[in-house]
Amino acid sequence: MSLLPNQQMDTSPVIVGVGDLAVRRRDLMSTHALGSCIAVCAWDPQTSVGFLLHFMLPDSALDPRRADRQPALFCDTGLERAMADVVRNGANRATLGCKLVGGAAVGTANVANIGKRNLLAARSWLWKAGIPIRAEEVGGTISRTVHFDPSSGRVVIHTPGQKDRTL
Amino acid sequence: MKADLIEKARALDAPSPSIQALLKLMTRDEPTLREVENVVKQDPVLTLGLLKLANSALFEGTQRIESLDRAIVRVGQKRVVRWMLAQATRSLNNPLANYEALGGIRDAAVLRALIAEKIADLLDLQDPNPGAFYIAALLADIGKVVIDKVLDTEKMGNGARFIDRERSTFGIDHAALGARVARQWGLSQNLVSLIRWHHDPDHPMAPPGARVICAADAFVEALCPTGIDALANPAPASLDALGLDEETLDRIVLAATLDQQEMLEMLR
Repeated sequence: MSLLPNQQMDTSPVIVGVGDLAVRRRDLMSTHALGSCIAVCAWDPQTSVGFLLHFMLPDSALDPRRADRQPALFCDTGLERAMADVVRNGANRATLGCKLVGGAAVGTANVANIGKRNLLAARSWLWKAGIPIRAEEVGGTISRTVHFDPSSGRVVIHTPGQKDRTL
Repeated sequence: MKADLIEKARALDAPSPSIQALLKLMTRDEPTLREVENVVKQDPVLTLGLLKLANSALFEGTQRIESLDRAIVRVGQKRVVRWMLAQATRSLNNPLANYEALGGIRDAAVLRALIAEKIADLLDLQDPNPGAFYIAALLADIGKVVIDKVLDTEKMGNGARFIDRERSTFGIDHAALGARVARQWGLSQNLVSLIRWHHDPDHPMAPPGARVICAADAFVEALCPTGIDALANPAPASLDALGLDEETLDRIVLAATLDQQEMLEMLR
């Protein structure tokens, strides 16, 4: 993956879909309607290179072939790919930090637990990789849209009917 | 207000005669290839659409297909039927400005339908109507199209489940309105009940299959929660009675999202 030239592209943010990943220098990135999925927003303050990963499920062992085709669907393969891409594009792994958003619950039944499992998977992977979590807004029962600026690490969270929050 | 909404529900655009014929066929048995072909033949838009689909990059074979029966075989009979049903009503595509579902509710409806069918298959749930889970889950939120016309988010309050707030504000909720729409389109009583109770599967009048639609709805809320009622109708703990473990649930989500991508590609 190569970065788009800075300031030469459209100023609208790069939209990251479900099971998708973007790596950019300075350009804004957004992902919409996070429920149980997790958005991992990581950035290197020295180079302003960062990534936004929107993964859906915790573990690629469920379907390794699908993970080969679309690594960003899963926490483990998504973060592995994201880390490799962000470092290849100039970020310094030692100074990377990240913020987590999402992991909502959908009720009290088992079917509602995906968010919690996603969150545990992300925290565990990042802890093992030595990437500090600088802030997070996770859990609860709200939908979240995330706007991420990798030059500052600023994350703005929008929920319909609520005031925007900044991490 | 309730009477006004019921009147608006009556005015909702009905499926085309060909789709109504397909729905009628599906109330007795999974339609045969010939029956599907006859339904498609009645509708020039569906005929052209199916031939285009069969010759598209999605299903392209070595030879160009010019006949409907071969198009159905190439695309797959079940897939053709699901594709036709997903186009049942334009209402699913209309933006719901007041619910803040500006892209319409079709993408979520298709995902819910595919998940519901997978859960039902997995649990080997028998239903008098083939495809009942797919159809009910597809149309479960059709009542929102009606409520959206009068919804004022400022007046909806906070706290309770959104469907309960709909009921207290309008005297009727989107599930009950959806059931009325389903009845006026001639769907079976079982389908009407599945739609009616998809948020209240523990209600004494709810059919057992309502849990399947409710679980599928919970997945859709988890994966793409859009609109002001997002995540505001929590799934009840009784869904655990379906006995689905976490790995199975993840597999269902994974398979359904892949099928959804394919179906949305087919609908483009």
